Amino acid sequence: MIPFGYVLDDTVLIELGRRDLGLHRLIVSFDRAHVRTSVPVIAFAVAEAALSPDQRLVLRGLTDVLEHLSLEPVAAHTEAVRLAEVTARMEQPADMAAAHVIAVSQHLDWPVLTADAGRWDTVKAHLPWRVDLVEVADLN
Amino acid sequence: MLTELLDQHETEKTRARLAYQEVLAHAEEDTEAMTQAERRTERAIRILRAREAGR
Repeated sequence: MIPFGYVLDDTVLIELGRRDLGLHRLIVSFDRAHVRTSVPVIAFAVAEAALSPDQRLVLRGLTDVLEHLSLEPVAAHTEAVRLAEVTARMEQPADMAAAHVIAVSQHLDWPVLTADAGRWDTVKAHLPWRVDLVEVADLN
Repeated sequence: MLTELLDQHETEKTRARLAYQEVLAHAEEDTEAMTQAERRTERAIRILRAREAGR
């Protein structure tokens, strides 16, 4: 297994739920090549909120089936503290999906895979750190 | 009651897996597009390796 990978943001998760076949091919191909993917649960919840019940099933099935995908919880103080450190630096009210993606990206030291780099413009403008983004279109 | 809840959980999980597998089967029908996805994955791996090498 490749010891590093990508953190998936909410834009990627939403498109996967919407059955974007190109993105499904890419993510399953990552998994088969042993590229790890991480899904922060707050981004997952925000994506689910934007999807219909049938689309949610697709997203849940994907996170259950892929071998090298892991859900990143906020289950203990350490994760809550990491999230709080990012949230405190954001424009308020904080974009919690983005905050969790950044917290996980910083912790794992993996770049963020996004379907829309523009989604990050406002977030990046207010943060003191560089957000390491790879847009799906950059891989073409 | 607990058995019922567990059964319900398993049913939901199975439905979700089936929903994903159906999408995946559809995605894999286009073998040329799958080959393109593998090439994009190679680029994604090169980005990760370059990032690691730059540290």
